[in-house]
This record gives sequence, C-alpha cells and structure tokens, in this order.
Amino acid sequence: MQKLQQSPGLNLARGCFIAFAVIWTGFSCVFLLAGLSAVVVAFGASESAGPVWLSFLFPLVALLFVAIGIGLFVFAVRPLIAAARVNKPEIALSNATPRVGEELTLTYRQTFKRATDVASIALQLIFRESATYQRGTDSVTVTDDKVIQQFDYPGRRYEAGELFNVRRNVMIPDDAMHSFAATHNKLLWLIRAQIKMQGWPDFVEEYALTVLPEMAR
Amino acid sequence: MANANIQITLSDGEPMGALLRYEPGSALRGTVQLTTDGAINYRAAYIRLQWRTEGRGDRDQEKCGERLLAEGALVPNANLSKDFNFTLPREPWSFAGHYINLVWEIAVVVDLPLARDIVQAEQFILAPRR
Repeated sequence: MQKLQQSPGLNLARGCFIAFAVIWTGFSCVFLLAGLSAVVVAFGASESAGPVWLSFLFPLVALLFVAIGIGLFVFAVRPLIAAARVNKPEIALSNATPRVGEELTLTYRQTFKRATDVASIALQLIFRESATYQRGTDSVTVTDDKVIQQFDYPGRRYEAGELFNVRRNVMIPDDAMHSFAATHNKLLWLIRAQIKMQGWPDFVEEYALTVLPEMAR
Repeated sequence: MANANIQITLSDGEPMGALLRYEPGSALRGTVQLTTDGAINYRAAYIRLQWRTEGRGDRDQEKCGERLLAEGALVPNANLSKDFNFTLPREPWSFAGHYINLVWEIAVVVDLPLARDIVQAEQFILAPRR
C-alpha cells in the first residue's frame, strides 16, 4: 500500500483566506480606532462642526467592516476547528499511480481526538478540471468536480481514541482521462474525505493521486 | 495578397465521429498539398504536430514535432505536395470536458514576413482504443 499525500492546493487556499481575513480585520480595526478618536474629539470640542450623530457614522461603518472581517476569519478557521476533533487520517492506495481502467484498494484510517457525534462520513474519488484565466489584472481559477465513486458511512457516536477504519475497492473508469497539468489547465484525480460532525464544522481533506496515460488492460 | 489553399490529409487512423483516432506512440502519416493563386513571398512553411487546450482557461499548447514543407518564394499557381510522418507521443490524450478541451492537430504554417502567418490545421484524436 502507498500512502497518499495531502493535496497542497486546499491548504494553500485556506491559508490565503485566513491571511485575507486577518488583513481585512486589521485595517478595519485601525479605521474603527480612528473613528472613535474623532468621536471623542467631537464631544470634547466647545463648538461642534456639525450634528453630533454625524461623528458616529464613520466608526459605525468601520465597526461593520470589523464584523465582516471577524466573520471571514471564523469561516476561514473552521477547518482548523474541525481538525481539533479528529487526527489526520492515513490514506493509502494499493497503487498511488494507477493506470486508466485499474482497480485499486483504498484504506482509510482515522482516530477521533474527542468523543464526537458524527452525522455522516463520505469518501469520494473525484476527477477535477481546473482552468485558470486572466480577467483584467486578476487571475481567476474555475473548477468542475465529477464524483466518480462515493462511499457513504452512517453517523454514530465515536468515543475519544476510537478508530474509523475502512477498506474499499475503487476503480479508475476505462473511459477516463489521465492526470494532466499545464500552466493554465489541470486535470486532477483526488480522494476526498468528508466527516460531518454535529455542532462542529465539517472535516474535509483531499489527497491527490496520479493516473498514468496507460490502459490497465 | 495572393491566397494559399492548404489541404491536409491524414491516413490510417480509425474513424471516430468526424475525426480519425490514433494510438498513443503510433505513427501518424499524411499528405499536405499547398496551392497558390498568386506569388507569395514567405520565409518558410512548416508542418507541425501540436496539442493545445481550449475552453475557459487560458491556452496551453506544445509543439511536439515539425517538418519543413518548403522555403523561399512561391510562384503563382504553385502546387506543393509533401508526405509527412510523425511518431505520436504517449500523452497527453485528447479530452473534451466541462471547462477544458485538449485538442491534437497537424498544422501547416506559412511564415510570412511582416504579416500574419497563414495557418491551416487538421484535428485528430490521440487516445487508446477503449
């Protein structure tokens, strides 16, 4: 069995999202402090330049931006919160570089750090198209996922230290395309694991495999 | 400016819809015919084996082989014919998806000085029999 490595793209996207949320919130706090300072000055002035309520407008808008930033940050760290409930899984394939039409054995092992009520567990074999294009000065990437095979496991309570361990056969279809990567266009094969936990964000991880440009038979 | 009429004929492939299919790693043979209705001054004309992507993403492409068709000036009513033979690579295979298409083609390119090149292409499918 060959262990699969975590797909780097997902962690990179998460990291960028967290960084953006932190920067957004930071700048919004600066504007909020500046607005609050202006309110203090307005109240302390002997003659006000305009209505008092006007001096609250800027800090209120800044507060809204701070709230948005905090919301973005909470959303961005949800995967990290989910990872507090489960250990990193061990995913292995009988062949990490299969050919088209090849049948593989997938093993998935994961322990729970804390007692958790799991709503469902899903393992998916996914074929992903990823296309990047320039839109003005921005680089935009669009993806399309096709679920080739899915294995669902019912929810139940897992105690701390309990192991979720499954072994399944997966098949790269006969009419599939091999993995492909160019500068702007990529065709990727992934194993995605998704654990829905009651009261907690979903645990989602992706693991890349390379399908060779060869037929199994 | 005079026009060039370019005809590309591929041989030996397996018909698959409107295109011919070739096995990865196999030989791709064909003939190029180039006729003109006037004199064309060009640097050179090439026969290229290449793939490119189409669709939502910016284009990726790669030239996998090239043969010289002719060079110099083409006299009026010139009639060039040349057979070509390429060994196809094993990848990437032709693909038609949601956002990305990967297209293989034989392209004849007439390289004109200070003008847009004359290009004519004939697509084919590079994929194993399934």
